[in-house]
Amino acid sequence: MKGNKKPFYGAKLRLSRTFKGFTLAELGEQLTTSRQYLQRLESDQDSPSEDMLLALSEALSVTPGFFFEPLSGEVSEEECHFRKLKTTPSNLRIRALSYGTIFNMLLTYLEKYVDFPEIKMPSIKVRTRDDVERAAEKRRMAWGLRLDAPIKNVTRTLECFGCVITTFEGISEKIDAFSYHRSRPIIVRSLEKGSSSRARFDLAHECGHLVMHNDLEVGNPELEDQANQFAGAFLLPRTAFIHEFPKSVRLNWTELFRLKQRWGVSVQAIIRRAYDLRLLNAVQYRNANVYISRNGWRHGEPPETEPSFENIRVLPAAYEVMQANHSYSVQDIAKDLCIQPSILENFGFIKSNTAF
Amino acid sequence: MLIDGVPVRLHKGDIENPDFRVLRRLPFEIEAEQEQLAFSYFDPKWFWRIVVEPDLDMSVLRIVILQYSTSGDYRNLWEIPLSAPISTIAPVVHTPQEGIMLDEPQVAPKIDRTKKAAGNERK
Repeated sequence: MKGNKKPFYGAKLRLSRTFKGFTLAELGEQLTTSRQYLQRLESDQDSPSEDMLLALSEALSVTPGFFFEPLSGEVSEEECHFRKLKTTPSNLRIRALSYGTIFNMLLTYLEKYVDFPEIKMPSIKVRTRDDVERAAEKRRMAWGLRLDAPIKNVTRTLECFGCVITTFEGISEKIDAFSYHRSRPIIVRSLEKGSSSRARFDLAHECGHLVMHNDLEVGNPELEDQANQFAGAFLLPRTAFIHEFPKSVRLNWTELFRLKQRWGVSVQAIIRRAYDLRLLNAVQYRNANVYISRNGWRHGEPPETEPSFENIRVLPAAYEVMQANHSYSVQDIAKDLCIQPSILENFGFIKSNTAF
Repeated sequence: MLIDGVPVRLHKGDIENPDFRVLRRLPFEIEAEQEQLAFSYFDPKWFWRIVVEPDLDMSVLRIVILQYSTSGDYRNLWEIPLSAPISTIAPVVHTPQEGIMLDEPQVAPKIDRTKKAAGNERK
């Protein structure tokens, strides 16, 4: 706003625009202005008029004050592990990162008032497949999960040991989840896919990144393979899995689905785990995958075999603390952060039954 | 199992005092060519065993390859060096365990630790 003492930060305009998923042209069309003008605002070459400022605020679900505080805690692509980096369009990645940045604002704010669970997620260096297997076993043992029993709630497990999990929806099903380290480990997970067994696997995959790949350069496909292997080993520890995997010449799909229901892991992931542990040879593995595809299970396994949906708990609990101890409402928190309360809904902060 | 065609049986128990089951030999074991283990002579009275000796809690004390005679004597005892202690022997029968559910994560109002520290200083 011209005449305002504080400078207008173009980076905050870019952040709120990408968070809402607008291109410069789309926002320009909505506000009857040019793409070039918005670009000048974003590169700090111009300041908006008062009516433009109000229009921008409304269109982007923030308050005018949002643009006059500098951007801090930005989440960059270099610090996030995206599972499908090569096939995810950059605009979707940028949008997902803006979710991460705005979520950081919320988390930094909450940490002033709330004590979150202690972080117990030490970094483990891995090189070989055996290292990955041992890293997953080590985490299970350290977290009191033993090696012979399923994890009933992966979300709760990660939350108990200091990880904050948040959700987003409406971006694209091309992004399953991503994770990064800030004051604590953070996992951002999409609600686009309805499968709870895959959601559990995604969380275990991100846990693998957080445990094994802190400080490593992202984007290396080998790291994604390691995170997948970690997820398999974390959810299906080898000793118990070898005992329980059905032993027959032909695959027994009834038994495999029974195994899925017991361990809360998709049949696809079970097949992959069996192949990795050499319980299936390459021919059996291929035939199993063909069978999965023919039955349409690649896009969703029978719903009756899916585990229960898991609720995130830490963020709603933090809100309960804010309400009970500081008498803060959602509106109060949103006002302090210069955003509309609707944005908080995106993070699973308000809805105590956010499940995936 | 066979090592170089020589039948070797694995059993668990007291190494120095084998019971009758340890010393019992199946016909195919008796007929096997035990001299294939590259010893200079073959004596049909002696046969090979791998023995795992457990403690009362089933932790492994030692694993030994040795020869027993039909009368229960032993010789050529070689204890397999273990690089790490073996905690328990994996059970043959696997009993599926119930899933594990942790308690809810603890989220609490922030304790103002700076105020507390200042209070201590004043004391």
